[in-house]
Amino acid sequence: MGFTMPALLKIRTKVFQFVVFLLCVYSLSVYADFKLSGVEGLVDAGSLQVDAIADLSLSDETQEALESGVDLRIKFLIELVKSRNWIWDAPLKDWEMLFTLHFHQLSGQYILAIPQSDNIQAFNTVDEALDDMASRLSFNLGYEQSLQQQAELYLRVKIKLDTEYLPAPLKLLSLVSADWKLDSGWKEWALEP
Amino acid sequence: MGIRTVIREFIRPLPTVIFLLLLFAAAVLLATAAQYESKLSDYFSLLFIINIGGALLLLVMIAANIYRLIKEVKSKQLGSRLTIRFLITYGILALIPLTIVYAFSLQFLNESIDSWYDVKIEKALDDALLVGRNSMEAVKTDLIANLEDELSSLAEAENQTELFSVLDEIRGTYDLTELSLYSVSGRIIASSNADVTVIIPDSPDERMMTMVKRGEIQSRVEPLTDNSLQLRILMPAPSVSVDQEGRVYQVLYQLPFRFSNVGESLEQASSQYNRLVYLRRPLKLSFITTLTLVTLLTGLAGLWAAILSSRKLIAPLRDLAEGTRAVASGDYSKQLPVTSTDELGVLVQSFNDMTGEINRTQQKERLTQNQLEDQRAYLETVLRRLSSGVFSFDLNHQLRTSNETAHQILKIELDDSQINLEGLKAKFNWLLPFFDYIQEGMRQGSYEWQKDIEVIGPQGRQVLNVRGSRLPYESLSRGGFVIVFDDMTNLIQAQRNAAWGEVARRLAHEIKNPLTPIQLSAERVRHKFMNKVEGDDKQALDRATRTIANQVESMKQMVNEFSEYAQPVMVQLKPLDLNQLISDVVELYKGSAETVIFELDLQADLPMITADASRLRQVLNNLIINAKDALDDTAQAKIEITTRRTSINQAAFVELSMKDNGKGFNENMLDRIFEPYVTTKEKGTGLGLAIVKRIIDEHNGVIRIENQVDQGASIVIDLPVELNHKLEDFGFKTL
Repeated sequence: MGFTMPALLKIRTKVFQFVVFLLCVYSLSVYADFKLSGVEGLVDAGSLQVDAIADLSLSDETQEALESGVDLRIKFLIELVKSRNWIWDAPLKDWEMLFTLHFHQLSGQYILAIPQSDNIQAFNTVDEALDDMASRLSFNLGYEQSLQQQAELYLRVKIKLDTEYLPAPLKLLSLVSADWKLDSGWKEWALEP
Repeated sequence: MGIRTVIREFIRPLPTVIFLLLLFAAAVLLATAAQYESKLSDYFSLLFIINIGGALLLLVMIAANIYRLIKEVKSKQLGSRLTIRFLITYGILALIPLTIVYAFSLQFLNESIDSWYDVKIEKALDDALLVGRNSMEAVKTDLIANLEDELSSLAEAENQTELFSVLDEIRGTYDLTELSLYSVSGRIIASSNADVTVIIPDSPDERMMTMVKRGEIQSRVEPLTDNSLQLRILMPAPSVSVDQEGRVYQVLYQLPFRFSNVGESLEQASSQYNRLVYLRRPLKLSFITTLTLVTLLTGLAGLWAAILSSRKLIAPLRDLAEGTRAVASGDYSKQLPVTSTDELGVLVQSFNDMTGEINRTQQKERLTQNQLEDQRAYLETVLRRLSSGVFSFDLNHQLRTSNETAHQILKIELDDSQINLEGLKAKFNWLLPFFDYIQEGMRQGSYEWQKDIEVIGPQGRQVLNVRGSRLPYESLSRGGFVIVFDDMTNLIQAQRNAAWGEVARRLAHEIKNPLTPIQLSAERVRHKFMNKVEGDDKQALDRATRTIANQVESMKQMVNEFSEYAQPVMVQLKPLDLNQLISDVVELYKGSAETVIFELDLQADLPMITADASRLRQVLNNLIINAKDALDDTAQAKIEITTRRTSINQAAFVELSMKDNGKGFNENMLDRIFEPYVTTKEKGTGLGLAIVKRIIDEHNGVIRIENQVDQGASIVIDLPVELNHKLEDFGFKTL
């Protein structure tokens, strides 16, 4: 039994439509809660300061988990990438900031562990904690030889929930549930003179 | 089975075994990683994806195998149905226990996880948490009450130094960590910290500050990095003057060690238990998913193993079936691969031995058959070259062999179809005497028999010399008879001609030669002594010499006629109208003064025959003369001559019949009437009918003589329309 060419084209169109639908659903679920609205770069004393403007909020599921004692780790990632024509772009260097959110049962406070320091901050609400976190998305990349102006280089940043940090039972859920897909996606930033 | 086969059979399933072992290891690792606090939990996602991939790969391979099996079943490939049957059996045997274990495991898993959680513990923890909060609330309330009194005096402080001094005193009195005074805009007015190294005081939270601006006291308990607890209180400070900006006190108080210790312990217990409660559903989901995945992997691996095992088990049977089919179609060279040493391997080896033996036997048989064919070809060549006709019959009188010469002699055509003696008799009925004699010989079972048989076929009369022999045989299924025959017609005629020629030559030499001297001597005696004797002597001499002369003349005539009879004839074959010939001959006799009446009844559309007109004219003359002689004393003498078209044994003949109403032939002489010198007449040489017979024989005709019932004789001559015999074979010469 064989397929005629019109039938094959019809099947191919249907498959294409289905894939587009899946991608739409996936993108909607992925970019629902963590958003990067902009990235600013500032050269200060020969070093590059990257500031991201983020709008962060937790899904109901993740907030419930947080308030139930599950610590959440949020990653702010910066990558220096070299674009290539025929294959995927190659990251040359990467940096990351790790924020940890914890809910203190006794005091009812949301505790934000600040990266690169031993300090913690307590907040009455999770939104306060996330706002504070958003205000801290600033990273000094220092002086990098590779940051010299090159047309094929660009920077990209993203912020996401680190599902690998979750307890094992939640990892399976984070693989399949959109509630756990807190990921801003890559925000690219070309290095301009 | 060789060592190489063993190694190959051992190595072949290795990739499958390794793949299944890897899947099993991945499943075990996944099950371990799924534990709540496992060292492998960081690899859970990777292991889960690997297991899903393995299951999908297995599923695809199983689907491909099942699809292939279905195609094999549809194409009715040998062993496919049996493979499916084995597969279903194996599948059921593997899946049923697996399903039962899976169902029990699910139930056990649910119940086990549920048993981890106790309502009493949860309630106790909640109560403990409430107690802790209430305790901290009490401490906070006391502290706020005390501080409100103490801090009210601060309004009276006149300068910065005094203000700091009072703050430091109050801080020390209540063992505060820090006591600061801020303007509502967040500017630090004064601050005292227990740690003198701390220069910048801890800034108040903006939201708390906003609330305090409204005149509300704000407080909260904050965990510190050393797991201790700190109480942060923001209190509005009374205004010193209307113009003065509003001020806020921030109090940082580290709860006593006993509070912190108990609080932290309570916090950890509560946090862990709440986390466990929250994770109950994901934990179940994770465990069930892992269990399902592991079960699925096990089931699929079992199914795949069942497919491979079925194929491996069925392979020898399929090979055997194909081998059997090949043997059934005559291919005995089929050898099957022996892949095991078990009973199936022994069976396959036995099959190979059997086909090998059959093949060898068949090759021998083929060799024997070839030899037989060669022998048969040789025999047929010999038979074809034989000048004699040969028939061979089996014991059932079925014709087995006949050579080309036999067909030529008998003027018959035999196709390749089987025919028996009865069939031959029915098909070629003019050969009845021939086949009857053969049948009689075979029936009697004599070892040898021989006879000359005369048949009248399409070409006329034939004399066949038939010799039969019984073949030696060991059983009833073998043996038979061989019939060898020759056409003796030509030979007999030639022998007869040669014999009569010799007789004629001797007669001429021994009898005719002395006749002339006898006649001359008698005439000389008569001439010399006739005038010298008188009376009775003269009469006696006259009578004697006359008698001698007459007898000598008579003998000369006899010898001449005989010579004419015996000498080789010169025939001239031409198409002949027999009716016309008869009319011409009869016309000669009508012209005489004879009183014989000729009645002619000649068929109008009589076909032309091939014959020598002068010889047949002689036949008619001889017969008419004989008839007239027989009619000497008969009143109203009559000769009837009729011709008509007839057939003998499906061959076209022309029949000439001559009847008279004379005295007929002597019955005692009828059997020998055609032999020379056999006559009933007082005069005549006795060669007339013999010559007639000979001429008719020359034309392959048949003549018969019989007396009529009422009166007279009847002579019937049948002459073939087509004369194909070469008359030279008879010793005649064609002009």
